[in-house]
Amino acid sequence: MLIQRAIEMAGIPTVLITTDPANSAAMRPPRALCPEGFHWGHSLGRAADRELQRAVLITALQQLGALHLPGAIVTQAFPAYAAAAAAVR
Amino acid sequence: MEMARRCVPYTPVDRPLADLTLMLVSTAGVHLREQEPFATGPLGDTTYRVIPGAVDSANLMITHAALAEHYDRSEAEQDINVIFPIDRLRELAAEGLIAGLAEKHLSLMGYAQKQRAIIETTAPAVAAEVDRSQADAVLLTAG
Repeated sequence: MLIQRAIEMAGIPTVLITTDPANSAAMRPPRALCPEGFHWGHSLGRAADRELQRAVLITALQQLGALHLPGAIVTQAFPAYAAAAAAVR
Repeated sequence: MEMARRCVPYTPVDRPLADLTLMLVSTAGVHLREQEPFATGPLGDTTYRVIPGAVDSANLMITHAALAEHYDRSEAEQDINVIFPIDRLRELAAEGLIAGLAEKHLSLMGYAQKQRAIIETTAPAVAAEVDRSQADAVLLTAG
């Protein structure tokens, strides 16, 4: 994301939550989390699912404290997301 | 000096997460109900909105040019934290996982065809706004 790169270049560390890792990777994000399988519009998971939202948020924020490869997108599964979709069906 | 696309800008974090003040920056089209909505015409919108730090999350809404079958807003319209986790961040601050939230947050709409305007005007303006703020770090959500 151009905006993310500009903020990082201004000297403020950033981390992105992306549901489109292919396009995000092309932009070489300093830090990024892809919650696996999350649909566009569901960056933190599901409405009213505070625990899932917290889990995604904390995982993303931990990249600010961790050693990692700049430009690499960390992909992590959050099974509660798919479980919620299955429950609706 | 221009940075090559292959290059990754990187600012090291110099303190623990618990000492960081966080700002939210989102391209998911979030704005206050009383703010001008993002333009959803074919050229998109290169402007950004400033969301006050004390915002009531119920006062936030989404305007976005993307089709609903691509960008599903139904979850976020029930709970804005799905794309703009302001309440979740406040909880983390209250628990001490982060130091706090910035005095403002920033919001854009990701569908913008005027890439040159984004590169030359919007991105530098957003970066300057972040740099002037209380934020030590930024969490971005895409849209």
